[in-house]
Amino acid sequence: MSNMDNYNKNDNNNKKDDDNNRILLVDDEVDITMVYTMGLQDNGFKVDAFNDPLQALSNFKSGIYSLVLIDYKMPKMNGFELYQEIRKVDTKVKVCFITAFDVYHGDIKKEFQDSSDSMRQEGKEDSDLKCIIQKPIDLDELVKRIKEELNS
Amino acid sequence: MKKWHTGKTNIIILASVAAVVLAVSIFSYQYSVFTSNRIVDIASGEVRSNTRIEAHDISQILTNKLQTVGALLQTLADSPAIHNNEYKRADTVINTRQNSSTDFTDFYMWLNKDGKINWISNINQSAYQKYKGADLSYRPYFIIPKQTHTVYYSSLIESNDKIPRLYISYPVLNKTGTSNNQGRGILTGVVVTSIRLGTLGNFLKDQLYPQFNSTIGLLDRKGTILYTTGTQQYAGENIFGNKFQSVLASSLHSSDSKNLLDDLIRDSLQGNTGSKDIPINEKVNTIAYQPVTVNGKDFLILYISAQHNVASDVRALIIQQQYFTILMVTVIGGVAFIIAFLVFSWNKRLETIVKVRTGELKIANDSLAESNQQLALSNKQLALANQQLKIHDKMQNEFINIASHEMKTPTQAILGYSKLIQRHPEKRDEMIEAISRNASRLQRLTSDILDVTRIETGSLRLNLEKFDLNEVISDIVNDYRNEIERSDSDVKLIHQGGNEIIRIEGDKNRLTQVISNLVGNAVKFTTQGSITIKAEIEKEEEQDKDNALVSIKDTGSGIDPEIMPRLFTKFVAKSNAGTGLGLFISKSIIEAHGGKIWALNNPSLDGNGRSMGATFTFNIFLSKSRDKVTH
Repeated sequence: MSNMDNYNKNDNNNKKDDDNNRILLVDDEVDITMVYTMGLQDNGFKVDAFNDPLQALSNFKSGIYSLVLIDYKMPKMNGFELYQEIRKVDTKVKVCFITAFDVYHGDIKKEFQDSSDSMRQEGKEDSDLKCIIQKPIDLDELVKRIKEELNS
Repeated sequence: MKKWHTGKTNIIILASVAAVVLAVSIFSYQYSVFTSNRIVDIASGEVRSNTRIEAHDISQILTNKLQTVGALLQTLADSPAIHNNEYKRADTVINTRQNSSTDFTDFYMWLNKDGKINWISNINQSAYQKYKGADLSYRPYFIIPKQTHTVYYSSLIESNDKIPRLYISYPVLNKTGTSNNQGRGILTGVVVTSIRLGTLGNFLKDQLYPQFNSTIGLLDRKGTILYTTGTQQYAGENIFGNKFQSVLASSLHSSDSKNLLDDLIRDSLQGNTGSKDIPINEKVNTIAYQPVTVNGKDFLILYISAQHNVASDVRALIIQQQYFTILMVTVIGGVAFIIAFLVFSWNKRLETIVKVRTGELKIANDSLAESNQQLALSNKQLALANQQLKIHDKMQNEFINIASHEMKTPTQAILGYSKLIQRHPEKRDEMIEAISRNASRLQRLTSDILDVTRIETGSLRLNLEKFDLNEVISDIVNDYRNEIERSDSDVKLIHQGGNEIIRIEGDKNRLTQVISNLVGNAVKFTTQGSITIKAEIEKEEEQDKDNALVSIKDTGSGIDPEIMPRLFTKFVAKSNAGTGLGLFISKSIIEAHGGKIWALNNPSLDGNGRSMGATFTFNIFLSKSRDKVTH
């Protein structure tokens, strides 16, 4: 387990070298961050993974990440709240939510839409939320979805 | 309708019926009286007129008869045989006369100028020899024609043979010598004929109209009784004589009738004609009187008396009719009264029945209203139950969502590691361990979800048995001690009073599950210090309420006050490794045993307000629990 923890955090301080494939991953489940990190790294992504959303936020810097991959349901701060905080700092980073809920899928979209509307009124542009990833997902499929989102 | 009102109406109706009956009776009576009087008047009128007609007719007939006899006598007096005293021829002439009027006259007689008998008709030789030459010159029927030279009609005369007779005599006058003096001549004899009163009476009787029930009386001008129907015993008596008057007095009960009769007789003796109604023997009789005039002289007075039989019969009938009418009216009135009474009492009975029915209906209505109320209450309860069911349903859905969410996380881990293990064979052992860990988590979750489902569908069954609580605790403590040892923790696990045997009746497996869950939680949240598990008996006044108290006290992080109120609900207190269902299941199991479970944060010991861990406690009855299943 300690090995995996190292693996998980091996690129934590290695920033700014490639803007196009660095991903921030936030999920309260250790096994999930472990599995997703390894799956993404095997496909050439650099991953910063956090199990605590507050920790993730405090370590967040604008312009480093091309995409944030956030679990929706987390203790202390849910995925959407984290996303909103990130958005305040970085207006360009792309976002994908991970959820194990079937029913929350629609709720996330709606919440996102409302948020986008208010931001649009403030003069900030944001794209529609297209990227919601349902747990459990095959790692190859996950990579495919991330690449699609990055290329969109 | 009120009772008194009904009574009043009833009386009014009864009174009306009675009044109508009375009015009808009175009217009917009056009408019958009127009718009867009319009928009596008509009948009496008929009797009166018939009586008068009879009197008139019969007196006329009698007049004619007497005049005829007179005429016969005159022809006899004028016959040459009598004039010439031709005895032999005169016999034949006289006998011829007698033969021609034998139904009326008794005999004819020829007297010589001295009043001695020349001849008597239809007489044999020996009788003739006896009467021949008998002197009858003292009889008025010789004296008066001799003096007056005219026909003479006598009243009653007692003859020598004691037979009462009327006599008519005619003078035989030789007018040859005195032709200057018309009517007068030399008396040479007198022809006489006699009529027996009996014969006269029979003759008169025969003249009566047969269907006309009447009697005949005949008087002479002096009031001498010549004939009365039925009896001859009064013949020759004067009407005012003692004998007849005493008979009258016995027949005429009222002096009025007597006076009326006296007036009538006096009037008739004056030669007047008339009629009167006189009650005799309590029956009205009409007596009509008519003089019998012969040769212009009132000779006799004829009386016809007729009872108003029809009238009295009619009156009797009418009275009968009246009685019948009264009876009928009474009977009808009575029947009407009885019918009215029956109708009223029936109405009253009906009213009573209706009242009773109304009462019953009211009771039924009331009970219906009560039922309705109960129904409304039931509906309310049903609505409440429905609402609870909806809430329950929503909770169930939520539970399924969360449960499915919880199951997807270890599934994702297992799927992910399974894929990565091929690419990273150097990390094979760690990944296998991770897969195993997630698989067991999935297994726990599945097991807990099944338990929750059993609890929530009420199908949690307890397999009751008697066992030592401390033995169970001891086993659990041993298991966790091993686990703690493996994880390099220095937390102490203390089983207090473990030597005492506490026998309880309950589901051993389920209670093991509860204690294990509580100890497991304590271990999970305690990084240093100790965990103390204690079981003790709590005595109660009622022996069957004696119970065992089990407490698990730790020195861990304590319970977040925010989640404390919802501590025993699903998915509230969720640790990294836990399912979030353990406390809910534990609570349900304890409650199914009839016990209670609660949790408290331990009072602060270090003085700066920091919690010194938490204590979970539950109690359970020693004897068999009454409630096997709850929720």
